[in-house]
Amino acid sequence: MSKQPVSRRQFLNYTLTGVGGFMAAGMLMPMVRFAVDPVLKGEAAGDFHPTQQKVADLTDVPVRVDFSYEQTDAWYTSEVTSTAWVYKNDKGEVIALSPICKHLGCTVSWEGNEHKNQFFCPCHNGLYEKNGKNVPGTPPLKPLDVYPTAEKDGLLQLGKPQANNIV
Amino acid sequence: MNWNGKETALFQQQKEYIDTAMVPLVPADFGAGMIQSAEQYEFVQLLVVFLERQFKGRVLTTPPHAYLTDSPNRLAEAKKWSEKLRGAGFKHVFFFTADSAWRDKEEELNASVIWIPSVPLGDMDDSIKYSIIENQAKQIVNIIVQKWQGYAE
Repeated sequence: MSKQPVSRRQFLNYTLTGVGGFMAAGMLMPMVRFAVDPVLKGEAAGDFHPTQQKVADLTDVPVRVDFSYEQTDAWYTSEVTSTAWVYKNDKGEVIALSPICKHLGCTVSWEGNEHKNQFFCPCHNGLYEKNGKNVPGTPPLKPLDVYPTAEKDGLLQLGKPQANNIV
Repeated sequence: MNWNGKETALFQQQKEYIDTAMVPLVPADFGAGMIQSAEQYEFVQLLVVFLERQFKGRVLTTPPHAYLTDSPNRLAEAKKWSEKLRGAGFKHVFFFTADSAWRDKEEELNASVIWIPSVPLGDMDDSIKYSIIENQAKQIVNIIVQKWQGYAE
């Protein structure tokens, strides 16, 4: 009893520092988490949306691929369905074209209304070649947009449509 | 084109290309028929949204025209819409309704009436809901295209 390893003063010092440290950490941790949050989020996987289309099943004839994903519009979250026309070109690369007509935004269809080997827009008879190039003399002034494509587990994934770069 | 600020502005610029108006024609019943009237609204609205996506560049979706089911002058009111739309330069006016009372009113309205029996979508799974709407809409797509071609000839 005569020899005290820890004096009262020391004991109080330790406890105060400990408790104070915890309190400071409690305050600082969330702040640090906020500060580094953008770094931790990283890339949202390039924003590719999965589809049900098997890449191996694609041929040189464009097929319609529907896919849906969630979209937030102000406070309203909805399931959006999008469509792509997908085929393999001569080199075996997967080409996915947006069906949105570059004239006023109707939906084009492959070989619609008996137009062989072309995309047809029913609204104002717009025509596009297979690679999306607009046919001169019809209303559209730009080629169809292209989706970036990816493959995961043999299934096709589509990104956000971009201006046509394959024409 | 949808009925919002941005797309109606585009409509004003591109008037010569947009010659078709789509009017959802829906009953408003605040009594015993409320559920049915709401179901019809839901169905017609989904259908019109689908069609608008297909034909965005040539159609303008108007705000829905709602009428009270027991209103005596509902025919006259709908007729006014059709007249106003024709006056605004629309060559084709389509009314979409699930109320069979409008089926034989095409001539009086001077517009096409597309009557679709409404399916109660209530608790259905989204994917089933879409496939039902899509099947219905595909037939209507043909009707609209035929009307357009009839005009061109």
